[in-house]
Formats: sequence, C-alpha cells, structure tokens
Amino acid sequence: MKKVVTFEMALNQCRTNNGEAPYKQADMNTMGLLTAYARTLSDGMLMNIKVKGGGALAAFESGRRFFYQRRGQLNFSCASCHVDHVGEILRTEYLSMLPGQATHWPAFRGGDYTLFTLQRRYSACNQLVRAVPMEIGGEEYNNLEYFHSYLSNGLPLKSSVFRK
Amino acid sequence: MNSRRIAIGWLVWSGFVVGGLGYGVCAAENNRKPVLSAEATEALARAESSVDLATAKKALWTTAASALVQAQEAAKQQDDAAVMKYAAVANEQAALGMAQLDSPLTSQH
Repeated sequence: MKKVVTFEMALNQCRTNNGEAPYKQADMNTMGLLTAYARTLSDGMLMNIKVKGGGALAAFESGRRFFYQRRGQLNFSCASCHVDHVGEILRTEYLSMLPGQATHWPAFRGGDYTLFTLQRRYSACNQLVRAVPMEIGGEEYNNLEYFHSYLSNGLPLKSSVFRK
Repeated sequence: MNSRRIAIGWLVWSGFVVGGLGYGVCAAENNRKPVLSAEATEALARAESSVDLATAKKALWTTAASALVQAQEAAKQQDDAAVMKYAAVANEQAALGMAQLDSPLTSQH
C-alpha cells in the first residue's frame, strides 16, 4: 500500500541518504527549524497537489474523512469551525476558510513563542476540542495534510510567517 | 503476707503483659496496608480497559485520559470513593469517544 510522503518525511529521507540521523517530526528545534528554512525556497510557487491512482485517492479520502469526522469531548470536526463557521470570531481570531490554510507553514506563533508546523497545528486543534491528538508524522495527519493541501491548489506558498 | 506480695506481683506483671499485647496489636494494625475495595479495584480495571480500547481506536478524549489518571492517583491513596468516581467518568467518556466514530460526518460542501 502506497503512503503519503510529506515534506518533512522527504527531508528526513534526504538526511538518512546522506548518513545523518532523521529528526523527530514533532521536534520544533530540529525538524521545525529545518522545515522553516527549506520551505522558504518555495516561496511564491503555487501549491500543486495531484491525486492520481488508487493509493493516492484512498489517502485523500481518508484525509477528507478525518476533516469531517467529529472528535473530542466538544464533538467538533475540523469542518465545524473551518467550513460551517468561517469568518466568525473564536478566541479573538477570525476562523479561517479551508483554501489557503496549508500554504504558509511553519508559522511562528507569537502567543506561544514557538514554531508550529502544520501537523503540530493539527495536534493543537485536536487538543482544543479535547481529543487526544494523533502522532505528528503519523498516517492520519499525513492523509489529512494531503487532503488539506489539495484544497489550496493554485495558491502561492509563503514561509515562514509570524502569527500572533 | 507472702501470698499478698505474690498476688500484687502477679497483678503488676499481668498488667505489663496485657499492655504489651495491646501495643503489639495496635502496631500491627498501623503497619497493615489498607486495601482498595474489590468494587473500586474492578471499576479501575474496567476504566483502564476502556481507555486502552479507545486509545487503540484513536478515539480517546483528553477528559477520559485525565479522569483515568485521577482514578489511578486515588487508588494510590486507597480512596475508594474517589477511585469509583473518576473511574466511572473515564469509563463513560472512553465509551462516548468510541461511539463518536460512528456518528455521521459533519456537512460536506
């Protein structure tokens, strides 16, 4: 069964091919910083995710299901906020719409004074709805990132950004 | 006279012996570790099992996980009532997390 390869996985593959140890994907001081730099090399390029073949489609559908699946004690799905309540204010922030969300990671979040990769953001969102988060770099979040990134196709990439 | 002394001596020594036995019993009671009731032990085991299952299904809520931790802490303190209370919360919320997997997807556009 073919699986999604994220940018972080590709970076680790490059490291191991060159005799270096892989970084832990949840470690913002190593993988976070490397990703923050490496993604700037794509600044201005357009998101271009393709879904071709049975394996890719299955991963895409799995990511889509995750996006619309309720979870946590608050019983929210990702879509509850980012589709159904787009534009409303939650915790002093406007809820953003789905297209464009995947284009600007990692982000340095001023409120937390730390770097957030996209999957770390998924983990934080899951915790906010009181669900135990999945593994960063695990299959669930990889498939979610695949689906999520596809919906930003055609939009320019921009890293790394600052958010309050 | 002699028999009177013997009687007094016997009373004094028997007092020491009885006192000593009493102290021994108290010390043994103090050293004995209190045991969690069977009901609380069973409730904790059930909660641990439910949380493990929800974890395996990737459907665990943080509230269920923290209730289980509180139940385990209460078990260390041999607090039956608290174990039962937190284990029930962990058990119920683990079950709700797993049931949530079957709920319909939210709106798709």
